[in-house]
Amino acid sequence: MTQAASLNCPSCGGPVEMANRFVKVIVCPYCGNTLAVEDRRLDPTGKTAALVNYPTRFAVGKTGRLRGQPYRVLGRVRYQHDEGYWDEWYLELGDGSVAWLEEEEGEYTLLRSQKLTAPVPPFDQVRVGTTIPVNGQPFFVTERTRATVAGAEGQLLFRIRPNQPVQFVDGNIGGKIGAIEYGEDSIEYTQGETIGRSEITVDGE
Amino acid sequence: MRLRVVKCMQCGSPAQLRDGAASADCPSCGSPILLDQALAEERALARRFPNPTPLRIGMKARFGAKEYELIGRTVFSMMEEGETYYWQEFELLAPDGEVLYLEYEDGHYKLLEPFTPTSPIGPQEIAALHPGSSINLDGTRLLVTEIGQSTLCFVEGELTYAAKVGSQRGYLDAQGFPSAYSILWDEDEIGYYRGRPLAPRDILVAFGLQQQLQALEAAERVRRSRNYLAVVCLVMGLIALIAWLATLSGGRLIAQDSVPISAATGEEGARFGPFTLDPKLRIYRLIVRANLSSTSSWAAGRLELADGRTLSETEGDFYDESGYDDEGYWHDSDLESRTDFIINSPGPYYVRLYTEPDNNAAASQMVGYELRGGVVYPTYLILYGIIMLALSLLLFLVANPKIVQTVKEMSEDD
Repeated sequence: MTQAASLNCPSCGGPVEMANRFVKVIVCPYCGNTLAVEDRRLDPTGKTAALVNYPTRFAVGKTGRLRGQPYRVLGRVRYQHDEGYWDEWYLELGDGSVAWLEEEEGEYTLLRSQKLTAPVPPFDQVRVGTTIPVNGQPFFVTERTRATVAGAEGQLLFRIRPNQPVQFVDGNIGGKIGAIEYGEDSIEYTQGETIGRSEITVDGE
Repeated sequence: MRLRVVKCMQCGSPAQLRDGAASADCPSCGSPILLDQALAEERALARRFPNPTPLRIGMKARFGAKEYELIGRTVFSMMEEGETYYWQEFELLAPDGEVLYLEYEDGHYKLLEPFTPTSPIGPQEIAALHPGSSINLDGTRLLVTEIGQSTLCFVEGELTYAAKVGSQRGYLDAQGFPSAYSILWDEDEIGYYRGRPLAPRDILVAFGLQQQLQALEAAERVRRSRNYLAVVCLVMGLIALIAWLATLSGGRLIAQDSVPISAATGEEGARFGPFTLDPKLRIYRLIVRANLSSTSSWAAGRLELADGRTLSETEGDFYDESGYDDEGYWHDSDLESRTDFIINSPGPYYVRLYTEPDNNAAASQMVGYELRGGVVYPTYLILYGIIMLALSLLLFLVANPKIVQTVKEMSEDD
């Protein structure tokens, strides 16, 4: 969790980690001292906002139901870019299939891999607000992101390397959401849709 | 034991200050961080971009069944015709990670959430639009209300994205019924937001701001009572004006008669009466009416006492003329004169008519009078009506200062 504010226990100097902003008290794992967090999170320069480490309902190993179908969280990849970060949760669904649940600024998108049947334009030639053809359909480009893999945990389909650069082009394809991932060796395509918060439950909530 | 977390001014990394410590070295880049300087800079900036709402970072709000925390505030500006307009955006975060965006401008709140349009449009299409254009993002027809370029001026607290002061983005606001829509874009991203307008009252309820809510309700009560008074004045004013119109008919007929004009010529004229009049039936009116066709005559009507003393008089040169000129047939006449009076005693009174016909034709035609009582003197009524209408307008404007402001802006625009 690279985004968690890393602090040192003022009593013993041991590193303590604050998982998210809703944490108000930390118990030092080394000396057991209870630390109240008065988190000013002020940005003295006023030039950039402090980036919130926003909470999530998911964790590796959690189970629940997605539109009635059971799922299990196998893994997680966190991507980081200039403007923030997002998480991709790797889910195993009840029917044995797998999917990615993208969580960004509190929004959920369920994405499944699709084969690209024709080449897509290179990342540098894609402009936001224009339409490119993807698998024979018009793909309206909504976002271009240069990101890096900030970290990963759990079981994943592929090997990841921290700080590995990735480029993403997100778009709207006939009211659905598409994401083209320009990796170092390959171009992957996933397609899916926004998932309402009530459409996914987490066991134990 | 308390920790205070600040951000390094050089590299932006979070750093901790021990309770009571005034400075620390950034754990990432080693730059010194001075708490006092950091706080002073923050305060100076906050003064430049004050928060016009009662909402403060750290407050909790309830929307639906969920509780959110207000984590950050951003101020955006846009320039139009040399004037800068500002608006605020608040970010609300729920413990399950859900994010809501609350926009505030000029007394109006909008609660927005991102959505995926079925027919997205981009900067190229937007360049061809203008306020008043209609667009379609999700199957409903939307009216474009504003298109512009905004600049981020100020950030406070935390946000779910790394907003940079000075960064620019395009925006389009559109109105559906009843939803509000926004499209925001820069070079790397275009986002679509949909939401609903919220009344200031709803916001105060959601944030549980009881004191402000009571103040708002008190102000609402005053406004409502002023509006109520305005309506009462309006109704009274209108009644007065209607009554004024009704009095134009001229009260109740007490006596009327007519004689040939020739019968009212000479020293004696023609006398009618006696009439006993009730002083309470004020105001009285004496009308002299000549029934002339294509001729003219002088005529006068007098209210007299039994001994012949004149109390009130009305007279006129009456005529009826017609003919042809360049524009065709014309007809002109003046056949009536009147006087209003009040009396102190029941009388008896007489009415006397005098005439001086201009020719023989006039002499054979008729002159008559009408004596009316209970005439409501119209000047008082119309004055009363106008005062009441003015009072109602004044009360209405005091109760609704926004209307005054809008009118002022419109007149300035002209």
